[in-house]
Amino acid sequence: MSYPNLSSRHLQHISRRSILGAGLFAGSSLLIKACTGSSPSESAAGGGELIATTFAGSWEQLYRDVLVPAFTEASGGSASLVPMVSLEQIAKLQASPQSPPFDVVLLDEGPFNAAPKELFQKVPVDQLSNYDAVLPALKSDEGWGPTTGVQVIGIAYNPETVASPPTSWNDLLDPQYKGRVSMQGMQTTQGTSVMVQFAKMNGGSEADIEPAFALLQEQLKPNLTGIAANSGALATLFQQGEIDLAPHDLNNVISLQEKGLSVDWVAPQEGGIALRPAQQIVANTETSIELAAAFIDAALSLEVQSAMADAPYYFLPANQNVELSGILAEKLGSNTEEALSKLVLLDWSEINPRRTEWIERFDKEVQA
Amino acid sequence: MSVANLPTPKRKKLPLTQGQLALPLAAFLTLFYVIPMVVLLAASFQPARGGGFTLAQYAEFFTDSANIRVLTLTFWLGLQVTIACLIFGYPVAYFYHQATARWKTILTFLILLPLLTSAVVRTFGWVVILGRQGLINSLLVGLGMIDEPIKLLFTHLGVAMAMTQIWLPLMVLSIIASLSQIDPRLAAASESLGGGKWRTFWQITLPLSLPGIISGCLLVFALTVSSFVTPSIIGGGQLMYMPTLIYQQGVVLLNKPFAAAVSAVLLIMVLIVVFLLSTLGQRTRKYVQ
Repeated sequence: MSYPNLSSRHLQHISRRSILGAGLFAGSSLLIKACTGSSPSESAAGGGELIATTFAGSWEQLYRDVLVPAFTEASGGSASLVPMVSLEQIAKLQASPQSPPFDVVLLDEGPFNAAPKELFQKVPVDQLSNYDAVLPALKSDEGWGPTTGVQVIGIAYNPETVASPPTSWNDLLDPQYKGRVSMQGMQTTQGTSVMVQFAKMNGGSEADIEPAFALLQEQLKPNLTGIAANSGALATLFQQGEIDLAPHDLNNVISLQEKGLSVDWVAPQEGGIALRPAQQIVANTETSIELAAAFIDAALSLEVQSAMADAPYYFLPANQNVELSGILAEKLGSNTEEALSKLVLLDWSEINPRRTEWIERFDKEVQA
Repeated sequence: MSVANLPTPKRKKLPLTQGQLALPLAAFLTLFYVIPMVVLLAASFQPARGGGFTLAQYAEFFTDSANIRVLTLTFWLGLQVTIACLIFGYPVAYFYHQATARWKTILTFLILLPLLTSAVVRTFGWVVILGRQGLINSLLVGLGMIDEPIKLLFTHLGVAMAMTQIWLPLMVLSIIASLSQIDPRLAAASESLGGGKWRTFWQITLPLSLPGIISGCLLVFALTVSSFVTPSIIGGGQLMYMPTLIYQQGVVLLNKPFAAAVSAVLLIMVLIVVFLLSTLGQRTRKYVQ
């Protein structure tokens, strides 16, 4: 009978110290993690490490499965990924400009254009072996990073309920689709792009959104069943048969289609809208510029760019040497240059100064 | 109402005073909670550009009718969800309290089940349920109660329904905790003195479980008015609640001082409700004693 007694006393004796010790250990290791987690790790053995942001979904998949392995092979470095939308990335960079949480960021052109430029440093293009292969229209005149891949916004529709495929942006306004249309709000790049496109089609411009807001009140709002919070919500709405039409990205629609959803995509006759997300090097990073440049270079390589244009990603490649095939070729043409000629590029430097006001106005005007 | 003759566990004197034991948590909270909160409040008194002290952010909030609507809509949502959780939660908690040990195991599992999946997953589940061809509409149309599907997705009602399901377990657990502290002999005594089941419930069980009801209401209200994911996905961009407004101003529009002011307003609203409910709680505690 003395044995259990002894062991329990022993246990008590152990537990006080060991719990205290374990607690201290856990606490201090958490603290250390918290301290180091926010700053990039110093270059380890080999090519060093960097922290790159990407967008959740197809982009993250592309980074994880194709870009990071290609980068590691080319430079010996390693990269950890943080999926996050552009505006949040910029908010994070602004919160701690002296020790930024990321080294290389992927940003939509609108938010990048609007962000304070001291958050970034110019890309040393002479260190990019693939820079010459980038389509000239996708390079920056001011020495910032070139477009990584182009996303195209057109109209997604449900072929089972929409008898004849839509041909124009105006089809979103057709009264026969009352309560069967959705779109993302103006705080998203997609929502703003579509509103600006509507303005341009009705006598407005990047600087004059008024026609689009008139349209929103009179024709678009009666058709809208709701404003989707994000592209994932749009996908669910199509899946549930909740909507028939919505402006959406080609790559997202094809990936839904491949999962067996009844959804298809068209570029409207007025032109689909091209979005040009680009990678930038963050100012004050602890990682070397060479390594960051190597990461961007890997993203522009023929290998990564060819993979990007194919299943399951379907972005238009920035590298002009990539030949388009399959769905991209069928919908947009045989290469990016031909595709871009059919697409609309928006002037974000005109949009950005006014965008805050538009977002607030849009949110108020669509309120139920 | 005597609980004094219940056997109470013997307390050993702690080697450290209780104040010292709380020091690590106090340090942690000061560093990661109090200081950020002070920074947030300080930010709300700054002008949009430059430094200085101003009440402009608050003035801007309260002079715009759109913002006031967001505030009242959020308050209503909190109130509706809290009441709905109470109405649906109390019977479950009561049933649990009366159940046999075997049933309790099953019920515990069922009550906790919703907490085991993330709010995001549950929210997308609700999109499926609330849709035009979703569970609720198919059922109502199938039963012939309605001819046309009713719109639930992107409505305030839809948001309230989803939030009720999401926060229900917290209400149920609070009430169970309170019910299990009631001395079962009180109900027996009431019955032996001629009190019927209903009278015993209204005059003994319900008043004694009030502390649990109040803490459940507090939890559900505070969590509902500060929820972000469910209102933004079920409500869509057409229904704006305070957390969505804070996100919009702070992250999308980079108007930090205004976002801080909106956060402060939300905080004050929650604090008022906490204050009212805990005053009520104090009174009921006197009754319980």
